[in-house]
Amino acid sequence: MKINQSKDDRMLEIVVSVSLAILCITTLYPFWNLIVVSLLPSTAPMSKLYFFPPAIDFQNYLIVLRSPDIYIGFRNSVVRLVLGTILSVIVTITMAYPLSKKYLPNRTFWTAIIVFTMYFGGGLIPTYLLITNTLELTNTIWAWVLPNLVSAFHLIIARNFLSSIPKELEESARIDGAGDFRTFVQIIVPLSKPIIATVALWTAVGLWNEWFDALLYTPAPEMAVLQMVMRRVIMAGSNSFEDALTMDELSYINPENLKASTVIVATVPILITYPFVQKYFVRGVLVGSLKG
Amino acid sequence: MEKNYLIKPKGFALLKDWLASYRKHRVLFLMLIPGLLYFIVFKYFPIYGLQIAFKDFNLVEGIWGSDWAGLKYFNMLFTTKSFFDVFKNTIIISIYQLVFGFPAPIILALMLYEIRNLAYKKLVQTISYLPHFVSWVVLAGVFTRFLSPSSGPVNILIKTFGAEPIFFLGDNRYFRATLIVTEIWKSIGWGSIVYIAALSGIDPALYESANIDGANKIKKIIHITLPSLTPVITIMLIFAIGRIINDNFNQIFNLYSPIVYPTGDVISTYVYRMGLAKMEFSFTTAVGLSKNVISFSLVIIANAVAKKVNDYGIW
Amino acid sequence: MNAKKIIAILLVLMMILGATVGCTKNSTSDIKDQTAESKTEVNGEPKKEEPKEEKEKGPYAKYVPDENKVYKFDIVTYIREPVPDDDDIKALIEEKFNVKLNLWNLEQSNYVELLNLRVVSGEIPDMFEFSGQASMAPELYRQGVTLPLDRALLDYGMPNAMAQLDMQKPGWEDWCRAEDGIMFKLPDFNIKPNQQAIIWRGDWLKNVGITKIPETLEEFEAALYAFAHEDPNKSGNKDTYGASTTVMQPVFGAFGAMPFWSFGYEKDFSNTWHIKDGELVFAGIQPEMKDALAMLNKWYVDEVLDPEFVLGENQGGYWAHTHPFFNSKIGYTGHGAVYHWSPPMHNEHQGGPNYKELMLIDPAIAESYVFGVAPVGPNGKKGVSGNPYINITKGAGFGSHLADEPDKFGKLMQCVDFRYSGMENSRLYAGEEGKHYTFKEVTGWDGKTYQLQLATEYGIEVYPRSAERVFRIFTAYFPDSLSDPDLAWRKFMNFGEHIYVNQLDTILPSDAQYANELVKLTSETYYQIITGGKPIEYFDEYVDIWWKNGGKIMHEEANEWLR
Repeated sequence: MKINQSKDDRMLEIVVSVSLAILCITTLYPFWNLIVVSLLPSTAPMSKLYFFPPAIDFQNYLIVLRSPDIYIGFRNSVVRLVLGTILSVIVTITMAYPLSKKYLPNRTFWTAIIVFTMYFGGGLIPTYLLITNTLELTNTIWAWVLPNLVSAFHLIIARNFLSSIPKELEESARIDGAGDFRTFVQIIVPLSKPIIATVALWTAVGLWNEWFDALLYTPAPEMAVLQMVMRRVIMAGSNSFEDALTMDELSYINPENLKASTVIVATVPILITYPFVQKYFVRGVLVGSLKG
Repeated sequence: MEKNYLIKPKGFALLKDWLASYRKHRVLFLMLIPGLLYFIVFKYFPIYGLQIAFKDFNLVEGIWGSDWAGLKYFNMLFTTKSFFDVFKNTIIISIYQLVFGFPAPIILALMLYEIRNLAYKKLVQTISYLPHFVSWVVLAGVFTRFLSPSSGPVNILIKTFGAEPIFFLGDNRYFRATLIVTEIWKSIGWGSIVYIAALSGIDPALYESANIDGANKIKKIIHITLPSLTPVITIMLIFAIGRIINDNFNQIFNLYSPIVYPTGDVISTYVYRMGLAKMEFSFTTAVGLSKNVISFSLVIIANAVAKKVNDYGIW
Repeated sequence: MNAKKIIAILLVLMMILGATVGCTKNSTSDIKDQTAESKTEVNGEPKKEEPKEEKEKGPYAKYVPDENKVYKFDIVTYIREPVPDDDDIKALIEEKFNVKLNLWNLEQSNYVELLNLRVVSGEIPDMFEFSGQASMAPELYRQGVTLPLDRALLDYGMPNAMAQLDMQKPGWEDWCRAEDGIMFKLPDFNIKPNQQAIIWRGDWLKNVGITKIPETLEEFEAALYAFAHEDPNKSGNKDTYGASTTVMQPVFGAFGAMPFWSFGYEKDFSNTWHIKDGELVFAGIQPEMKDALAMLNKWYVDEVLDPEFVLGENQGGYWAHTHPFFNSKIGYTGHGAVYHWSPPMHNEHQGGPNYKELMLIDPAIAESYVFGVAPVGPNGKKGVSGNPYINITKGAGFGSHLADEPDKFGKLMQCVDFRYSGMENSRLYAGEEGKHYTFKEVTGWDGKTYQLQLATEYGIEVYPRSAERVFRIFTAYFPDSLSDPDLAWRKFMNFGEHIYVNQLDTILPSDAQYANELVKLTSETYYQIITGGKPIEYFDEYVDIWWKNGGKIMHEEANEWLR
């Protein structure tokens, strides 16, 4: 019997491994394709589909990295990501904790008014007027982070995770006489690493990729974020096609190759941070910290 | 303290109890304040903008000064001949997406959970997220060529098995299925994060006792892993049901063509082609408001059902 | 139960918020008023009394600017990249006119949204350069954002610019009027004639024994059939087709209407109207289109038309690339405009983007393709889609607040007029010769010598700086400014001679309600008939549905506008 079972299990593991491998190969391709296109020299036709670049040319990367605003954009994006993610995670988790407690007075009401905002909002115009005219946040770092500080969706998911933490873990602290806040900081936060990591990842990726709000609220050149700078590089490159008549140097650029390299330049930094997040998704993280 | 009439007014005793409960949990309530402030300032304060949907919005007069237009902008969409068709397409595609797309990231998370080799696991996770970072404009180019009936690798494969090539993007019988599969493919890795986070909260001791009972892996998944995921699955499902009225504009816009309008033209693409999205704030707001009323109602209903079924919901 | 309670709670909450917001409303409008006040302070007080000396100058005396005042202009232009505050071309222009410039750096791809938001928040620029959307300029006028224009005042304020406009396109005012008959913008032109490309594989024509470029529809059809069935690439297999998506335009054109208006890169049909017997008619329902569809259906059945034509010819990447043509699957294409296919225009030019791409794929194809002509149909009609001379998406307008600041408007008109008062003056905006621009002598495609004016920055070629577009309405056009080999080529090739354009240059009141619906109906019907999903007789039914579902109302409105 026992041997049979482990045979089943081994079969299962093989099936799982193989299907995951297939998934990986297919999901890797488009990204790989972008890398290939970004490395194509301008002498290679770009309307073809490549599996490997016929030759490698870093010219597109040089154009992207040479653009003077890119370092300002990169710095601003990093500042925005760090500040925005920290603030967002703090406010989200602090708010999720009371909402996860059944004994919070009018818990349903407080939850409902938050979920309500996922579906009903004033739209672009009043928000714009609020931020530029009323709060006067234009061209300040607060305009990067405050308008989307807390996502109702993240909040509900976080609350959900917190309410699944076994009560016994808190009770020992309560016996020691710790109040709500101390219990939260000393017991709950360390136990919430997976959800903190999740919310942080979601927020960070969102902040990193968002450019439209920066266009609206921080239009000053020294406040440009990376995605805005990248869009400008692409637009300048695409224009070279339309009036290539006079632009001899720039008409060697293929906008598609340039686009691909901007995507890579803008995406790789955020991909690199992923493994740091990943280490919080470990089996049995709750129990481990209980024992420790 | 104007919120006291939220409680049925049965005299001061109730009010006193109510205040006492807040006093008792004041620390807990204080923790809510920073977030609440955010929602009030940035979400509730601008809500007066919704009236744009009922007005002829004028840039100079502003939101308050514009003239009332009644339901003019609602009628603009709902009375067009195609409205029923695009509404139907939106719902059908969303339901397919719910049935096939919703479980996909859960299955991926469960599969990853079963992998013992840590390096392989991390590699798969990282790679499966990649499509999330590639825009639909880029992906559409790749898919158009991969799925081409004459030269695409997929159809070359189909032809080697002796079957007729399939015009995935140009045939109304296959278009919706193509949308679902490509969307699952793009979002499965990113969508699995929340389940992976939830899985890391499971107590390994549960599996140890199951091992002693001699349960095999499938049994352990059904009896231990899935039940521990129920709360998060429920929440995600409620939100997914609320999104039935929404469609993936970027995906459909980049993949469709007039030949598949009968199955693939959805509300957002239709509204986009109306060409009003940029100048007509009133119309856009009216469309958004209508969708959101439906979404929110669906969420309320789904939540009520979920609470009946497994005593778990958003609120 | 629960849900009910929540809804009740939410209603209460919304009421409370409504009250709060009601109070704050006043405060926001206060802020607006304050900014408006401070603005006028900066600009000096609007003149209410007419200066004594200028009284004899008649009704326009109030438009004479105050010589001692430094005017500050808010200007929206088409920008490639933001203009920094210390831009030296900007400083040059400010010094020349003794004004202060505030250039709005609105990103082009989100121009309309960004501009609208600024207007809502109480800022209206003094001068607009419109771009991107045809409906934008009339809509801004309707909403009272832009100033209604008076030809007599413009003649007084900017005589040179008006003379230039009259020279470039007499009667241009008729393209710039709103439904109330008032002029709402000044036009910009497509100076270079532009139309959809008509491209044949020259080597394929030779291989199937055709020596003359097809001119009639019969010859056109014969060439396409030969491409599909006579093995033009000598491969021994049936692996070619005649043409794909973009063969539709010349066929429709040969039958006398053009239900498209783009250069073949959009798969959708368009809301195009032509003037026929003094009346505006919708292109899609013309009875001749039935014959055109029958022909295309026959081509589809006979495998002359690429079965994948429904997806368009572009499979991602740069929009003007046509993959079936590049991959030698088809021998005819109309994908893209003529300039995408242009050969090198001078000794330092690489050719249009499609020419360049084909040079990389296979120089033999690039060298062998030839420009064809639109085929003549049974009734002598011909043409493809093209650009009208007046560019309906572009042009310029002025902020409506200038009605209260006539002296400021007068100054603005002076600044604009300078650009059109002679070649040398128009070059002022490009900066200094040697520093910001330079001249380069090249040998053109025709062997002639051309002087190109190139923007430079410290000796390196760059795009013309965005500040260069300040006070611009349209491209100045002086006899000695024609040194452009591309323009010479397009004129030599007679591009733009046989084109169909949309002659309904306005937005009808019922457009929002019906236009998209009817375009969708047209697209669906046309594709269904071509691919055999519906019989050709269905066309009559389609015309009927068109009239019944708003077509009649649009037809009436269109013709009312025409009158």
